[in-house]
Amino acid sequence: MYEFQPTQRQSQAIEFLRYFSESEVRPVALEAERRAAWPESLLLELRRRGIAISQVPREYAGIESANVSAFDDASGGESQAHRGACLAAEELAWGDASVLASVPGPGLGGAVLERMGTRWQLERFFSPFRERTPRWAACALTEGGAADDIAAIRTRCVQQGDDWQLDGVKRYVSNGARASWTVVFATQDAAQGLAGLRAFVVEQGTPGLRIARKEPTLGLRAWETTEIALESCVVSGENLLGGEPFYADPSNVADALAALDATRPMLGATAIGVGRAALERAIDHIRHAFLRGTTSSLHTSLAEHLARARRRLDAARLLCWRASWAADLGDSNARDAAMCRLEAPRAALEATRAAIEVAGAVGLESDGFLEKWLRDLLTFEVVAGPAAAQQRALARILLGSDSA
Amino acid sequence: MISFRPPPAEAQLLKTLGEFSRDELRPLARGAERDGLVPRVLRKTATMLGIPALGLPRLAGGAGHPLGTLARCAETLAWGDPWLCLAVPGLDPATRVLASLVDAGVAMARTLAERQITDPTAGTALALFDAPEEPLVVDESRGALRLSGCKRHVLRAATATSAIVLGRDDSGAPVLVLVPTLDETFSAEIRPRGAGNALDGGRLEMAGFLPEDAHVAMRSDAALGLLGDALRQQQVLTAATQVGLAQAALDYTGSRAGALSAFGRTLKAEPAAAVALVDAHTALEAARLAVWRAAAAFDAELDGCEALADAAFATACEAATRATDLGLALLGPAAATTDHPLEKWSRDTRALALLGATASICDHGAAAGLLGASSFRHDLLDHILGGDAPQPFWT
Repeated sequence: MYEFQPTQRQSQAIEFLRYFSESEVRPVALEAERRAAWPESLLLELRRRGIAISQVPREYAGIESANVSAFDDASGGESQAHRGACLAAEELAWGDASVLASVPGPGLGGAVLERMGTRWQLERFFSPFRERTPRWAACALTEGGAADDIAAIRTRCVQQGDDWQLDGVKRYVSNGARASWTVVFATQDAAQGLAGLRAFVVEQGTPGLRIARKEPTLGLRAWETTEIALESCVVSGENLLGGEPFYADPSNVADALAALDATRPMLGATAIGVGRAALERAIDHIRHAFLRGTTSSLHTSLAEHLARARRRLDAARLLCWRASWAADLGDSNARDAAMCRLEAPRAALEATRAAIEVAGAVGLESDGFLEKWLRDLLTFEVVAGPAAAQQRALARILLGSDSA
Repeated sequence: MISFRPPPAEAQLLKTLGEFSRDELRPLARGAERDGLVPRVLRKTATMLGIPALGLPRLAGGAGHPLGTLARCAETLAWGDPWLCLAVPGLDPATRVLASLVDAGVAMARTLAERQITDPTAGTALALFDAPEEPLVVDESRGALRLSGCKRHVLRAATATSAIVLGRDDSGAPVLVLVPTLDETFSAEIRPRGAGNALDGGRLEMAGFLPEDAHVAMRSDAALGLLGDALRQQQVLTAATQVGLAQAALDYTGSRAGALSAFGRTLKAEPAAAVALVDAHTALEAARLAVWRAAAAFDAELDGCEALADAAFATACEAATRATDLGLALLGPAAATTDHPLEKWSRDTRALALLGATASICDHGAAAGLLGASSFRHDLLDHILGGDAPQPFWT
């Protein structure tokens, strides 16, 4: 059946996160942006409640850290991990867009490890997350030139006996500076495209792994994104994800990368949360004017503008929900994931711009949130992948492989 | 739970309707528009497939489908042709009102519904809008119902076999009258339109005593309330029709874009064209989900379903206009000729956007809701009956 209501358990979790966002996240958001870091206590509280980009698989999580997110309501007989993550992401992003990505956990690196790793690798690299000490993992895919074209990356890997030497530069790596390990994609031969790709787990402190810099971004400044350099970085063959047989069939790599599609709905929902926050500010502002009796036809025009922005945002939310539903079922959600990733930030930007218009000059003051949210959404494409990448992917899916 | 799993029996239903849409509706669409009526063979086939029963309750022998399933049926049929989708009884406004009257226990409505299911020639006109110079008056003073006046924008004015008429009684209160058999009391003047002529429509003049089996189904606020609910549900179905039309336009444009070449490559290999198509597909998908959500809200009888219907309708109209405009822009002047379906669809989508509340009214109502002002939709229905025009909510 088509249903559009969260479960009761999810609704309760939403209520909690709304309270948490309003009382814990929002009050420190501007300071977190200035410091480019969130208070550790806040992040640990979210981790304790199982709110994170990805979770350690239960069989490797250990008893103490086997947090089950309240949003992953399996009472209906099926996992709702991705739907739950979507709901949580929106509520947290309402407080601030960068907080979810900062929560300790395996992150995107964990999602890739789970798809590609051998049992031994899963045990080895997930086990540190059983400890109380907060830990992060990262995924280094994007490069300055290749951007979203995975098959065209330039970071080289050369086999040397049982080991591999990596050389190259990766950019926009979330939590790259504090990650305990980072999944790095490199190529044996760029001319081979996907067939030449290899993925390695590079542990923190490996000689040759250098944190070049933390990227100074327009917005989302509390979302740590780093540039990392691999300079004759030698890793053991045991760190080649999946082992060499995994790469005999290039489609294995493509399927594994599809794991990233499962996280796109959450990113889309993050944008929705910001857009919703902006709209609510503007609606509040204009409603006060209406109740004071100072409304004119101009206000009505603005209210209609906000109404249009809100319905576009609501529709974009449904795209995120459907993509996350497909991910929960284990179905390919490439089309839906690309659509939600394309539409959600745009709808959020429209909402935020409308909100700024309504708020007038107040909207652009630096001690207000509206200008921050606009910068955050504009930066979103940097850290979450450009819209053009989604358009290209969709063109191939909808129009065929010979489309532009 | 958030779920997009289709109900078990729906897949086969949509498959059957899809084949009917592709093989019967689409080929006959141009001719039906030119002739201003639904081909008889089409009505027969539609009746055999059970389309007139789709939107009717089980109590009257109908399929009893929830609004969500009806919306997806409307999408599927509209892909073939949006106006034939509405011209064949089943997913049209009159059937929606009839279904509501059956659910309300009006016996004659059940009779009309049963007739619609089995008789390919049966159809009900829905006469709501007064002609300002001759508002419809319902006279019950002489022991028999007498109607005098004129209604305009009546769909199925010439071909209907029965009618649901909204008028005012002597005291000025709204009255909903069921007329099971149309006789010489009624005379129709068809007004050709820029689109949608397959669903004939125009003025319906009424002068005289009604047949004995005609009677008042509902009065006053009950009548307006029932009509309001039914028309809101129909708004969701019209939105679904827009989605089906938009899908047809994008499918056609995408396919032609792969066949047409210029400067050494196909149209869809042009990045600008591909990006525009992708964006239009994405907007359509968002509109589709908004329609499904509105329908699900009605089925679950949730608060706020009227606002969801408004939003879905406005979003679907925008997506459909975007899709047809894009098709015309990409495929060039040739697409604007009657050799291609796009020129028809571009007219159709604009006409459909005027069916019921327009997208502008929907946004205006949403704006009122944002500000906490009361909705003027009830006033709008009253205005249909010749009452004062609703005042802007900010005055």
